[in-house]
Amino acid sequence: MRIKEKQKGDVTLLTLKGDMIHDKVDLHPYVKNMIEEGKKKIVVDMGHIKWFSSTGLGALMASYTSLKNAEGDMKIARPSRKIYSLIYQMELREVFDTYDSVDEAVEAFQE
Amino acid sequence: MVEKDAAVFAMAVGEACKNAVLYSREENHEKKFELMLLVNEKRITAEITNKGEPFDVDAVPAFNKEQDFMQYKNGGLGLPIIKKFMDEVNYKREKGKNKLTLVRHLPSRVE
Repeated sequence: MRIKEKQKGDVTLLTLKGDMIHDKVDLHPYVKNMIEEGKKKIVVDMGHIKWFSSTGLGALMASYTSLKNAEGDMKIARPSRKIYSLIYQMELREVFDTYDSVDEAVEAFQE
Repeated sequence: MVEKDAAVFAMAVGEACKNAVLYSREENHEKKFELMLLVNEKRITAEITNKGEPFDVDAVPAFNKEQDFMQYKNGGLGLPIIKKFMDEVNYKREKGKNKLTLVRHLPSRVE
């Protein structure tokens, strides 16, 4: 999995590409480094994720927890129907704010 | 089978197969498992069989959103997801093999 970082005002956009499976997920260490740099408003764009497993979900959950512990927040943009279905079925909708577009997710931080 | 049932069933079976590979005994540089799917109008069943160390399926609780998410930062979410999504999860040790049976009940058809 590859992570591309882009700043949009005070919000950091992380665009994920590839697979979020098995041992290929290094999102949580990346987010922890961002928190140390003071970046605590994060949008995770999942529009390019091909394969997703429990490892990917665990990485999202750990990243969310680290951000909340640091008084930050994380929003998810463009989850696939499968990923959204997983979030819904696991009753995590109130944990993960999901948006259909990156712009909507970034704007949600301004509300 | 409605789409959401198919999505969660596929996710759970995928997690079980991943575990079967991860924890299978290696023979001739190969790790093998067997997957059998049984479908009728009332239920869909997956049986995953592998040679490996026995495990205690009851030792891991089903996922619930009140748990500490950080425990899943390096994995370990597979079995909790399986137990969350499946109506029945049964484990047997037979002739040195692990046999995990997952059952999802299907909604009744409306005529």
